[in-house]
Amino acid sequence: MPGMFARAWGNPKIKILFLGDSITAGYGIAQEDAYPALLGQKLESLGIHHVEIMNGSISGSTTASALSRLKWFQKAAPDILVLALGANDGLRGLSVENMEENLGQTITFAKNNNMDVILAGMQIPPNYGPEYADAFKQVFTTLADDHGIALIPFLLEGVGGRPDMNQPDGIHPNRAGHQQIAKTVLPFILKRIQEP
Amino acid sequence: MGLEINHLCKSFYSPGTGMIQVLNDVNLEIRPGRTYAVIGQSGSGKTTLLSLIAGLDRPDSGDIILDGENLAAMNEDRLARFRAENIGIIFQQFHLMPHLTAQENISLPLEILKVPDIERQTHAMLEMVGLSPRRHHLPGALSGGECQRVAIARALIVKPSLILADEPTGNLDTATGETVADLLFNLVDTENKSLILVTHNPALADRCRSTFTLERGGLS
Amino acid sequence: MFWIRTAFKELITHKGFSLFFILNLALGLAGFIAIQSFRESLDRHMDENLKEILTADLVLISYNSLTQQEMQQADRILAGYRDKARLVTFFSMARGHDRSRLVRVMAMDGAYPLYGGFTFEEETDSKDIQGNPGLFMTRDTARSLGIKTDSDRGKPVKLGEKAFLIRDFFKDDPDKNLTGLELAPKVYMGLDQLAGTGLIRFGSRVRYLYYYRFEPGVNLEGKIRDLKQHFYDPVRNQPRLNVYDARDVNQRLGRLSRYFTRYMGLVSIIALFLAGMVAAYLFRGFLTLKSKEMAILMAVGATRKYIYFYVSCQLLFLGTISAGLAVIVSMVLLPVFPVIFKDLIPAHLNVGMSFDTLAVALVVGIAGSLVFCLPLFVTIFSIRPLTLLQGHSVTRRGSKRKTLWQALSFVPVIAALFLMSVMVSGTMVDGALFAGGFILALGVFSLIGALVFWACRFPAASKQIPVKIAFRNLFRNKWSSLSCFVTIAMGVFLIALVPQVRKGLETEIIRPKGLKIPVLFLADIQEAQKASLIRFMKAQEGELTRISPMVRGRIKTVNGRPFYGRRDKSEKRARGRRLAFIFSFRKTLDASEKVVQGAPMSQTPWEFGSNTPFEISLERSFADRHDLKIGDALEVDIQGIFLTGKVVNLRQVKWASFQPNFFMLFQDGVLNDAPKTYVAGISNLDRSRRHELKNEIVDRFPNISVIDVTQTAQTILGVTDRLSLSVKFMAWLAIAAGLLSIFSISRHEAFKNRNQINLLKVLGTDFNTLQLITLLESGFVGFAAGITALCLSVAVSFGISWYFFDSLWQPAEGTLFLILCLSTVTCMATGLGAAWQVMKARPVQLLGQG
Repeated sequence: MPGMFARAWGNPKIKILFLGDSITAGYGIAQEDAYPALLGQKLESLGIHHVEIMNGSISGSTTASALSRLKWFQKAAPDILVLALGANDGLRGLSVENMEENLGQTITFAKNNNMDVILAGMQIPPNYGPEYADAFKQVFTTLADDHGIALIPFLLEGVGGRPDMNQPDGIHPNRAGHQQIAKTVLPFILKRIQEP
Repeated sequence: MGLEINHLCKSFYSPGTGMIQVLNDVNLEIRPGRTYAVIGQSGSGKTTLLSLIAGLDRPDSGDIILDGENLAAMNEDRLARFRAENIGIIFQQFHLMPHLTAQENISLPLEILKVPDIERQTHAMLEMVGLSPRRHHLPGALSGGECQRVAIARALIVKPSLILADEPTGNLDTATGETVADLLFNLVDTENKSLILVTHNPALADRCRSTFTLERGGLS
Repeated sequence: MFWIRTAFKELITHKGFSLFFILNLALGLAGFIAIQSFRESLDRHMDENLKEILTADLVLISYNSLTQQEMQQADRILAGYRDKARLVTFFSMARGHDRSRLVRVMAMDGAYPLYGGFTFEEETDSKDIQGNPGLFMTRDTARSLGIKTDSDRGKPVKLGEKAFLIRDFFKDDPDKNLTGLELAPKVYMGLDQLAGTGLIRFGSRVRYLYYYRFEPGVNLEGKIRDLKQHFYDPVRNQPRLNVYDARDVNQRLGRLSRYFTRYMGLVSIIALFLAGMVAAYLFRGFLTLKSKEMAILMAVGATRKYIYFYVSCQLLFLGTISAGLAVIVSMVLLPVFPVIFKDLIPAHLNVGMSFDTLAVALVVGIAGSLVFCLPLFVTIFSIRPLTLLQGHSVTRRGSKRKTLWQALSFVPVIAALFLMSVMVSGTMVDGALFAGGFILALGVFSLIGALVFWACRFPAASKQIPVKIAFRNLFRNKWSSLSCFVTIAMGVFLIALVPQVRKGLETEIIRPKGLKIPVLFLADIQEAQKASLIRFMKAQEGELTRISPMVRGRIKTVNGRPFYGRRDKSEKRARGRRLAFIFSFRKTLDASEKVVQGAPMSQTPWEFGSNTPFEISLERSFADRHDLKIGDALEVDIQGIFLTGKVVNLRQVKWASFQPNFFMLFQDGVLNDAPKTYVAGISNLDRSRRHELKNEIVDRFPNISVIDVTQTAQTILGVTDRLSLSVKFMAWLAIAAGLLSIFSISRHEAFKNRNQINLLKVLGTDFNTLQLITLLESGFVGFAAGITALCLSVAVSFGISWYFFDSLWQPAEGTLFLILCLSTVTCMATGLGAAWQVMKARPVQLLGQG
């Protein structure tokens, strides 16, 4: 498929790929207002111009699709992978073991292809019960430790559960929510870019 | 052509008064080629007698024998056929088909009988009743006298042996009535038909060879 | 007073005619009442059905619990409600005997549900879980929690930090989830038992539902508007809570019930037109017969004013009696209908007459007599007693003044027609369309009829006497023949519309033959899993059908303009405009969809990277919602790749068929390499086996979502089956009512012809010939009118389907042929009946009649 990733190829920029679900895809808001795009703007405003943001997020996706999607995007040779999947696995009550395995394979593949991986930690709402919520939360810490990668402890820090940060459905962040997420994620990105 | 009426009886039910005996043991003999007048007061049963002879109604008892055939014994279809061939009827109200022209009204009985050569016969008849110039007019456009002449022509066209006329001039003014009566009697004469004419017009009755009076259900 | 007395006396004297007239009109009106009553009963029935699905008349849904104050405000706005129920629902991990699984907790108060109910295995009451930690769930749910036998029932199920015991198993619950997507089985508990679970706290994702039930007939639209206004959140630019009523239960059902309502409206209008037409026709005949009498009255010194009064009295009297009779007949017959047509109409249908229907019937019968006869009153205008003396026709043709009056007198008729159409159809535009169409059809029939009877002059020249007489009658009496023709044609036309529209509707409602209704629905099948899933299913009972690819993407621009900023047609959408959509592709269309506009997609795969845009097929309502048309260029973002396609066609999809269908289909070749997942259905599976298979699939392919559509399918198919049954029954009812009207009209026509038949008999026509003439005459009118009407009805029903029913149209040649036969036979039979009557009667009557 020649020319497919023309915008990405032949460009010395650092490519950051966001592989996520509806949160990262910016469900219910304009894509320019989703946090990956906001991060791009922020980096620009900080005078960092050699960064290209790629948002490969799909609403409703689970970790099961992560590896095949990453393989697709691998053709664009991203430098940094922000892996923000798992929320849907949790909401659907899928087994945490499977989730861990799916994410693990994806991280391994990324690392083998010279990508810097930032894992976004997820939490499940308390109505799912304490046992499951704890097990779920634990997966991200374990993965980060096992693979020696950076972990954003909780992607929705300061957003989750707050009506003013979310759309009326209570689960998808609104524009203010995305601003907050961008604030949470920015230091991790800056760290990767500034210390290659 | 002979008509024999024996012991004819007919009664009707009338609300209020009950059964009314209209005809009571009426006997009558009509000889071919002659004209008869039946006179009587209104309600004396003249029209009833005529409709029985025409086969338009059935007697309670008694026989109507026309040319050796008993009308009372015929079924409806046979009667209709018999009527079409042997009896011509002229009504006081003309009873023309309003949507048919004079010529078409006249030829209607021939069409029903499915005889050949309808056009020629109709033309001849139109000529006879003096309506050739008005033959394409609808009844609505004809005068009363003209309408009755159409009706007479319609009655005579099948060359029936017996003509029945119910007050043929009753709906017409005196002058017109006279013209129509002239026409009727001329035609009956020249064609040698029998005619039974129901009227309460004494002048008209006088033109017939015989006159019967219908009183209290009986003839005299 | 004298005139009223004279009018009544006259009617009583001519009781034969009066009775005949009343019977005919009553028949026509009874048809209308029957149809209208059925419509209303069915409407009510469907409405109740929708309410049962919603379990209430109105539901408020919020993601936050309403505060005391907010609750009071809501109650105030909804003042007048009868009952109220609360439910809190959320997903949670339930810990069973030896395993845990995701469940949907339904915490209900004692009043839930307001409509519908549970079917339990035991004699449990739904309130039995209030005040104690009990649960209702299905046996399957319990099994999946490790509670396999009844002896296990003592083992607790833990939700959050609280232990519960299963109170009973339900087979059916009131909550009908029609979205088809059921992530987890439902578990019911008492609302007061939520305390202590620790599940509802900051960050919990919970939905709060408030159900309201109203007295029947309460208009909710205003209340819904007020609610939305009151709970408006200016910051988010949308209401803080969602309000639902029976109308928006589900898009699929919504569309069907919208079709159904429109169809019923159409049938009602047709019934109304039929009744009105019969009334007008009969009144007209009445006046024609009376014209001589009126002339007589005028001759003896009556002024025109009194004549109008006199005739109006008679018409009003006849109309009132007819309407009254129709009402009585309907009252007696309607309750018997459900018994007679047991298998033809939905069970438990309560057929009753509404006051409105009866009122309309009475108005048509009474006021209609005057409105419809206005054009004929002008005829009275031209009656001249002078003509009496000439013994001919009592009316005179045409002065300019008369023509003007005649034209003006039609205005109230048209206005009444329009008003009634608007009333029955509900909207101004639809009403105008119906009324306009009706007048247009009248015009077309008049034109064609005039032509037909003009052409009767040719067979009238036949040598065959019956043919000659019959056609000459028709040709010469063209005005009378024409009015009969037009009326019968209108009747046939109106009733022929119904089955054609119906057949089209049924294609939407009835599942196509050979279409397999899936038992399970599989989603999120990964590319890598596809092959192994197919292999796995080969070894299983059940058939994997329609494995359809699904690619997520966004619409960036439409014709070069950003898609996001465009205004959405439906303001209803509470959430922001969606950008992410699902694209798919398939080599052949599914049996449940068809292209209704534009060309089919080309079979050759699109060449990736080519400069020509690829082809896009859109589902019609989707295109409508997003204001997209054929020819629009859409730039889509398929996970980082930007491609441009062009809309080539619009599809109609039967969503109720439960097949995997998509709003957007792309040409083959576009999406083949894009990252995608698959959806598929599993059909031909014994329903009892479905849980076992479900569990096996989940074990083997944990990420695949298995959706059990059995209940959804049953609910929707149940409703659609009832709909199609009703639609069919209404069609037959309309045909029956129409035939009744035709019968009334041709009977009246035959009645008018009696004198003529009698005269022919007096002149010696034998019965066979007379019979033949009558059959030819009435049969020809019936057949010619029927065939003309059917031709026009095909065109018009197509138009109606296009306008009201999204082009659902199917030829119904069988029914049309039947209608043609029936209408022709009806005409012939009534004509023949009249001939027999004359044959039976003594022609002597003629001598006595003036």
